[in-house]
Amino acid sequence: MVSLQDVSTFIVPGQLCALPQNEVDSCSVSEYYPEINLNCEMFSTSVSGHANDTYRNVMIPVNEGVIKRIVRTFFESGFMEALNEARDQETATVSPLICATAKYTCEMLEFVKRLKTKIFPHMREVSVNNVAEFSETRDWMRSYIRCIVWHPNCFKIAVAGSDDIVRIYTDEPAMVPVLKSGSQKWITSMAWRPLTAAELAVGCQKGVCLWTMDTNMHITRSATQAVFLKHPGHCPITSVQWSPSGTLLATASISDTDILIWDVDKLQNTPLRRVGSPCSLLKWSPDGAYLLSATVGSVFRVWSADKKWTPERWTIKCGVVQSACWSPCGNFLLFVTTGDSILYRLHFQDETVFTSGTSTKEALKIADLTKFNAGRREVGGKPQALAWDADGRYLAVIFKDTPCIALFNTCLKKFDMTISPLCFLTGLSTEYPSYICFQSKNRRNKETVLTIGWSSGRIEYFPFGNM
Amino acid sequence: MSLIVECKKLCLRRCMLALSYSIAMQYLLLGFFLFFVNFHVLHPLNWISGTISVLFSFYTWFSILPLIGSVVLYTILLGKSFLAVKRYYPTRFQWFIYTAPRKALFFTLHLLVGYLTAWLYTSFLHVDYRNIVCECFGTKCINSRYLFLICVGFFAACLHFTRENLHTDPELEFPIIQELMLIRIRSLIYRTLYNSLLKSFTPTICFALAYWLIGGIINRYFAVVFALDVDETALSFISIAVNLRLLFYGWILAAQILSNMHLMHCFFAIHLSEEVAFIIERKPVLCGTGIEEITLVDALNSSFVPVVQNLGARDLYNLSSNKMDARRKEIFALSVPGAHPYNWNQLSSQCLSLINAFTDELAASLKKISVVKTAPLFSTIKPTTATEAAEKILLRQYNETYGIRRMMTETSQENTETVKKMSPACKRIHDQVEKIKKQIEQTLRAAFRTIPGLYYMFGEPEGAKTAYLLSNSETILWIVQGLASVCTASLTEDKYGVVQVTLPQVIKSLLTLKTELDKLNNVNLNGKKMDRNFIALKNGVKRSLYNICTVFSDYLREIVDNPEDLRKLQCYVHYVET
Repeated sequence: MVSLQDVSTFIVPGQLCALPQNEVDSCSVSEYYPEINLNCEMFSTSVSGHANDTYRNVMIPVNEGVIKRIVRTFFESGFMEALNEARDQETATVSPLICATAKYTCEMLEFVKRLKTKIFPHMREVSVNNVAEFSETRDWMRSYIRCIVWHPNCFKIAVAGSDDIVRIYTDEPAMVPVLKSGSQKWITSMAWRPLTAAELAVGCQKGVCLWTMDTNMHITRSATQAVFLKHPGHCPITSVQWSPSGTLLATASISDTDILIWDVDKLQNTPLRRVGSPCSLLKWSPDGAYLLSATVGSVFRVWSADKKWTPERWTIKCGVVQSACWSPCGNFLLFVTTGDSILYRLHFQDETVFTSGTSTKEALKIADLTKFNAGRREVGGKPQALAWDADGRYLAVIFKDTPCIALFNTCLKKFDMTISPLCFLTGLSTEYPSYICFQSKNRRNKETVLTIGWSSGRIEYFPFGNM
Repeated sequence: MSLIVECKKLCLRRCMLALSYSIAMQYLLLGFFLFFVNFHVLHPLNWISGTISVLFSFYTWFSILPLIGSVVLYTILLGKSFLAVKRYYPTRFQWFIYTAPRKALFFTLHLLVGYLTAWLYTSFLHVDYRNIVCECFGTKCINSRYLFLICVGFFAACLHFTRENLHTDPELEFPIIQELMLIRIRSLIYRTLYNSLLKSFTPTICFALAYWLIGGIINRYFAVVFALDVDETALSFISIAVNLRLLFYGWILAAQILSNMHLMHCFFAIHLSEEVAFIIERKPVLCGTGIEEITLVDALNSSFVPVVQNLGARDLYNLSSNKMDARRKEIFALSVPGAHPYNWNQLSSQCLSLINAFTDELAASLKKISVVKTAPLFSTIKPTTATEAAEKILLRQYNETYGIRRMMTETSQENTETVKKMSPACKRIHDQVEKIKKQIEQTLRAAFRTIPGLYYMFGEPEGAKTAYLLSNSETILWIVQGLASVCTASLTEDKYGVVQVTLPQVIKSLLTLKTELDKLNNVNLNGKKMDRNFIALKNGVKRSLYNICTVFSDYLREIVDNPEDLRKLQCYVHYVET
């Protein structure tokens, strides 16, 4: 492996592509692009998953008896909260007996829970931290922007904020429909249904929230329009993906080893079942032929939809698959892992001429993303997310602990692809990118535009028109 | 004729496979049962070896034959109902009349399988549970434990029948994704064995309670028949509740019977729904082989074998969406000799005729729904324009000049004339009669609706026909999506432009179907607000239209002539149609 500092921007055959060395300034896009800054629009700044007893801060405390208080808490917040209420200092002073009983009950429950986790390790409860760990969004817990998705066919962006609200932006800046529902929390991923006007699947804590928006209506807030897809043991959802034809929806949860394939119109599902770790990330190839499923372990699978859903099983040496993306032709898969700073490539092609039965397929290392200093900027490191544009010409990478976005040029051929460093992008002052994605090709705009959700809540569009 | 035979052959092959799986399943289930009931903690080796030796003994193979016989009969009836063309029964009475004989036969077969399973399985149990006669207080008594288990057999059969087959006919459900058959069967067996244990637990307990109540009667009856005594002590509540072994046997037996019937059902579903790649074009006769093969068009045409038609529709969708399907090239190819787009023409006309027939049927059924009927948004009466009037006059003059007489009678006018010709007295009587007729009709109708049960049995519920059509619309759904995908693929793959000629008709058909479906948006079908079949079909048609409009957006003006259609399609181009 060649060290990064002496690699020029030209690629020598057989060597890894290096990170880009020069920075570019952002350019302006057409004026119909909506200006988005979630920092200013946030309805409530409390981040979901944090303290949820906000109602206590606004309520004036009243004097009530211990029993009454516990009963009220039970009806308001459930059994566990009532138990906590019975254990607290206030109760202990008034009624030590209740406090002691509650303490013992709590300890017993804890013990049972520990025992259960020991016996059934796969049924471990998943916390918000686990969700954050396997998210493609950088610093998912604190990030203002949790997910950005472009409609695959028209000019529509859905932005999920940390306030659990999805905002829909179009080229008409006056209208910003918001999608809000009580059960829509911990949004990890979203996907627009292809070949529909406005159907959005939102993967969240309790299942998939399926929104069907009336394009003529300006405000969509009622929960009646959302269909909630739930399956026992299949939550929180960490990844949702539509098949390119829009007929099937695939969902993955980090607490379930099965991937669920939904026939959304009939509200039926069927599991894709294999023994192993739970699944964290799904990516459907643009031609619909393959579905990548990464697990929370070292295994990932590529399912062939055309070939009766037989999977190809791959293992990585260390870490888990952090992010992945398919080439527009569906022949190449790029992925990065949490274990190293290398960009890997897999090739999927029915090569009937060149394949020999004995050769084992191996993922090819194509770029070295190790951290280095370009002037006063730090670029590279452990990768966080990948994004590939709809023409397969540009690749963007964001990193776990450096604030720059590395851009690469890619060139796709039938049996090969080349990659070369292009430039890197930085935000304003201390901003770092939380989420990136490319705009889909649509009638309104045929240009390649990278959409960046910065940590400050600002969304920036970077057009590649003049590159 | 040969086509029907070929389609039936295809189904028969699959049914035979399902049958052989069902027979093999009997051995597996028996083995499973034996492993359960012969369990010994202290002698695990004896337990396993004993079970295996029993399973492979001659006695077992011989005594299982009656059960297999009943299973064969059961599967024949099951297969027949899977392959049958679904009929529409306007009233509940008709449904009852037509399905009752078949249901009765099916119920008998259920009971037979239930009884034979119980009979076979009890013969492997502990000696106390094995025979109908037992020794009690020195005399021969009827064995109430044995009777309990036999009754469990009947009970489980009844349970399965009422749950699965009483209200609905066996229906073929296609899986959402096509996995390998082996994987599907494996997961089916695991799931069924596990679920049936859960599902049969509560019913078995309930049955034990019922047996405590009415078991005495049954025992006494059989005691009289076989001239035996009755052991009253074995029928008390305590003796049933405490006999955990009996309850356990009963539970496992019920679970086995439930899973057996469920598995037979699912084996048929799995085998019949296995996808087929139909050929597009038959090889020339000279090549010898391939004459008997079913082409895709044949499959779509086989409305008399709905399973094959559905398989054809799914195959059309698959071939249109799979990236590397070489059959698409065949569809777009020209025939040699002749250079005609023979394959595409056949395929498209077949698909369009199916879609149009469905649309017509749907439109006809919609006319019966009052909500749709009474809400005409725009009046349909067209005012005669001046040009049209002038044209009519010109035509009349032309006809008169050349002595062309009008051969067609104008019915409506004549009718009014006859009424007019009546004398006033006649007219009065006529009016009276008409009035009375109408009144009688109204009272009859009102009575029909008010007398409880009458309308329920003999009336056709509003929207029932539409709901029936929609419940059978899966084939249409796949054909629509498949045809649209073939059309969109043609933009890059159709070298000769064969699709372009038919594309306007495809778009027209889809738009008409969409218009008809839109009328159903706020209609309750059969009491259901959201009919999932309707939603699936509507969304499927919508996606297909979006697919076509997205791909051909720049050429729509050249393809579609009708300005109204073009306006509708523009909504799809701009993604505003919901």
